[in-house]
Amino acid sequence: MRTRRLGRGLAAVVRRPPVPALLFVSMNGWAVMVWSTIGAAASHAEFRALPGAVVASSLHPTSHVHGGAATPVAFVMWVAMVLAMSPLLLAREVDRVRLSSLRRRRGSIVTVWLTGYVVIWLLAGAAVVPFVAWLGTDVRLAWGAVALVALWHCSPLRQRFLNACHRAASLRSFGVAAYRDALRDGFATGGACAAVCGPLMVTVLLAADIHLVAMAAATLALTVERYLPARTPRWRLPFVPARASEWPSARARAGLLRARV
Amino acid sequence: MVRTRCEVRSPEAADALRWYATAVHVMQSRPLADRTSWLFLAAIHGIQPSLWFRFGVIEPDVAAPPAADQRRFWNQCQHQSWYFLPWHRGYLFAFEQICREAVIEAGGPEDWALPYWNYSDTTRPEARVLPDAFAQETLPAGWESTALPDGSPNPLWVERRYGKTDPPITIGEQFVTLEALQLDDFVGGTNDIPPGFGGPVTVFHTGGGPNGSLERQPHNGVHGQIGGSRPGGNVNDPADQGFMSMPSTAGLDPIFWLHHANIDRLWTVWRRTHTDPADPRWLDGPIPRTFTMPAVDGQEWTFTPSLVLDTASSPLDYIYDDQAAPVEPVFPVGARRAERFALLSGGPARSADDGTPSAEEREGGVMGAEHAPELIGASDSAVRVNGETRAGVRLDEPRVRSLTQRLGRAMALGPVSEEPPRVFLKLEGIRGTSDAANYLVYIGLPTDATEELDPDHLAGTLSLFGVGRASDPEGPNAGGGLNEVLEITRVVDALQVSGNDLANALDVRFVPASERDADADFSISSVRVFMLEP
Repeated sequence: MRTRRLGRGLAAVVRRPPVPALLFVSMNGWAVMVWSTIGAAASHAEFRALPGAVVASSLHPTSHVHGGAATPVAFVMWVAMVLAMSPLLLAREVDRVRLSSLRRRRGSIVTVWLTGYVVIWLLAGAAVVPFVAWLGTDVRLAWGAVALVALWHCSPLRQRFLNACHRAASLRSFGVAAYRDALRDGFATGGACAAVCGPLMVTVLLAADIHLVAMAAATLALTVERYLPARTPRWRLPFVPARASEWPSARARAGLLRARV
Repeated sequence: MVRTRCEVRSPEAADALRWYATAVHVMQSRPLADRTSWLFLAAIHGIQPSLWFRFGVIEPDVAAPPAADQRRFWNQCQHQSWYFLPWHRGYLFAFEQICREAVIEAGGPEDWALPYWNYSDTTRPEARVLPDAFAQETLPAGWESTALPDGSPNPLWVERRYGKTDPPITIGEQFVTLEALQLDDFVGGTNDIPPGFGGPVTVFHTGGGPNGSLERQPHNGVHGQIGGSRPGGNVNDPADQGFMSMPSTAGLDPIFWLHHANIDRLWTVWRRTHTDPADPRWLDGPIPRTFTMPAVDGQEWTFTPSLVLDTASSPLDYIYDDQAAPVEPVFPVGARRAERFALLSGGPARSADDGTPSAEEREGGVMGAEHAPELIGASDSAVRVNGETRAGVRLDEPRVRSLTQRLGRAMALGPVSEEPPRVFLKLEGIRGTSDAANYLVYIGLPTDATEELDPDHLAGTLSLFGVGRASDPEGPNAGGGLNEVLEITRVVDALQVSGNDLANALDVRFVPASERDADADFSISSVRVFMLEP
């Protein structure tokens, strides 16, 4: 009963603009990813374009996957992956930008904002795709990268970037300043997003023949995480509840006593 | 057994107050780690240990509860959220049960119930004055008992309750008005315009963002007006603010519970003519964690909003002695529209179809098609408020021209014409540390207006309860601050009627509600004006 009611609640969220449009974009990204995977299974050709692979190969010795090169197709795959995974994370931001704009400018301002956001991800792709291709040449390198990504997900710095995603910048609404602010905020949001999600996407690229499953799991985890409240940056395992309050140390308490008013 | 919560100044409440003092004393004598202690219960609303140490509420050698208890129970209060009302109802219920147990153990009545403070009653001049029982430093005469001998400190009195006036502490009348009861929907519209009665859709949310209307006023206003800040102190320093001024200390003041009983009563009043959300995310929420309270025996009691809707049935089993609506509910399209045309064109006060929603409409929670608000003005930069402050809001000329033309048509043709759009002022990203601050917001005042500010220009009040936590970049709101939405349709209509057309700018003036508020220093990242098709 509770599950059914929560399901109905989720359906209400999905119907609310701009979620349908973002879902449409995301579905297109997924379609490209699925198509390329099926195509790869048939010919192996495009699949080799996937820059990673050795991790999954080591898990599945019978896999036909091989370490790949940083080809243009691999870059297209990166873009498709961003299109598939990002839109649902942006519902709040796109809505904010749209509603902070004069009605006759909504379309152009949102386009400028998205341009800033996408440019950051393209730049990230230009760096990540060759890097992942290099990681894909050696199992040890790839597993090392996975370990580093796990560490990154526990770090306070990543939490700071995630908190930045929660903070809505104020955008001006008139004149050229409106476009400038939208572009700047698109860059800033794209940057924070890339820092929060990019490393996990590297591991998805390394997942080779299970990359669709890994991508789905990563999308779910990143989306859930985005809509939960911000947390104090500190070293902690992902999704472990934060302490309700920070109990000061004995030394800190002594200092507070001196400051007692 | 259904118990009755009575108004604090009613004859029936006199005995309840005396036993309340005894129970507070008993709970205050329990250690922090005891889930039924005064301090533990206050920490469920909010605790900032460093501030509690600094205030001397807890001593350096205090034994803290286990980390798991802190995580499960403490700092749960839901603010700027659609869970604000149900969470506080469950919290109050848990507190009242523990309190009653202490009353019974001390020989008090088994049907003891928490009194409430109705400060909005305009028929009683003293309603806004802090009840005497809370203002006396020593135990009131006739309250002696074995636990509290004659001359004992009064458990209902706290030093850190400063208010905004010389004693007796009196709440400003602008901060207890009940416009919230006239709102149709529990949850606000797109972009929180119009604001809802109960608060915006959130997950488990301890503060930050837009207030629901009842939370904005009287809830937030009363917190600041009672807590205040230390006379001669710094209103921007948490260490100088009263317990009631901040979420992390509010539960330490015994008046907090009577204030929230009144807020809870107002929800009961609203529910008599309106409908709670049917959204399962609300009824079965929240995610990602549950609301957890201590039971009388110290065990855990978890609840969802669906469990605390009807107070008169189990498990709550209480009613209020006065659940009548103090203001007429005003439904959209009809009565509000008629009142509007009465101002704009001098037409009839009520139209034939008063727009009262049918039972079917209420059942489904459908009040007509939802329109999206449209931005028509915004400040060009952030506004720093420090004492009386003026902010210019640039207006979009084509859209404002369209608005004034429609207002003009409504003035000329009266109710036969289409209703012009409603207008809202949105204050985004309010950040600061002056939780106690109370301000008044005026629209379109003449430049030379200084002494008597025309109430026709009053857009609403601004109370910053919770702003410190909402502004903390490392807090759960990531430093986003508070948002406030004020409907300014009436003010804009009045400006139009008086011949002061909206030009290409709107003057917004922030006026401190008292001398102590004048030193408050906070920023507003953007002041925006929206219009909404009715």
